[in-house]
Amino acid sequence: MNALQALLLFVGIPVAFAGFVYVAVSASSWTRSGRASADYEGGPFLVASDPAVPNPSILPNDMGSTSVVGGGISAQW
Amino acid sequence: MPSGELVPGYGGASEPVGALSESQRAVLDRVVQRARSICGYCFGVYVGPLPEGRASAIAQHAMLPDPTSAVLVAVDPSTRIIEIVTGRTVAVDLDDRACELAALAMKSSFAADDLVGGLRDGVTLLAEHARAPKVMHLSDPD
Repeated sequence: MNALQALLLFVGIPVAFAGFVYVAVSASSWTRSGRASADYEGGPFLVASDPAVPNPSILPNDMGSTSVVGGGISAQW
Repeated sequence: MPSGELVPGYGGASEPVGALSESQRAVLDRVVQRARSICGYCFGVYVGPLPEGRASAIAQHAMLPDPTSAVLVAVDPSTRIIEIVTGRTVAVDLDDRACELAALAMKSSFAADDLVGGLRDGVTLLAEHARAPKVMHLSDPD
């Protein structure tokens, strides 16, 4: 085994394998479907289910209240 | 309707949308319908700008049918904001701690650029938590 063969064996193959792994991991973010986060360019989108199922066990606890919102949280990623 | 271009289609997706594909919209539509079948409450998912933060999310929540019994998960991908708004009736079964847990689940998926997967997991988690315990003589026999 000469120096060139040894270089290809111990450097070329690992580098090629590392490059393959890098491409395999990051390829999804290069596609349009994988980029729907930081550089989101779409318009506003709202989807909603059908109205809530009527539940007779739930009684209006404060009929006079005009507040619709009962809770929730804010977060950031 | 803030911009006049968003037409809510209850039981279906609204138009227009750029970054979400047809299949992704179909997934989100199925997710909210399944969440409703789990707990009985109305669920909504909003993806888009939230210029006034929580106030914008509350405005979107008010557009859902019967907002007191509705849950909205609003996400602004450009500013990386998650807002979960629960109606007054829903808040009885779905407390803020459960919302935090769902937001945590969504954050991990969003960080990996999986917007739809995060919304799917978050909404499903919220629906599971919002499922009220069965009440004798009121719950349908399964």
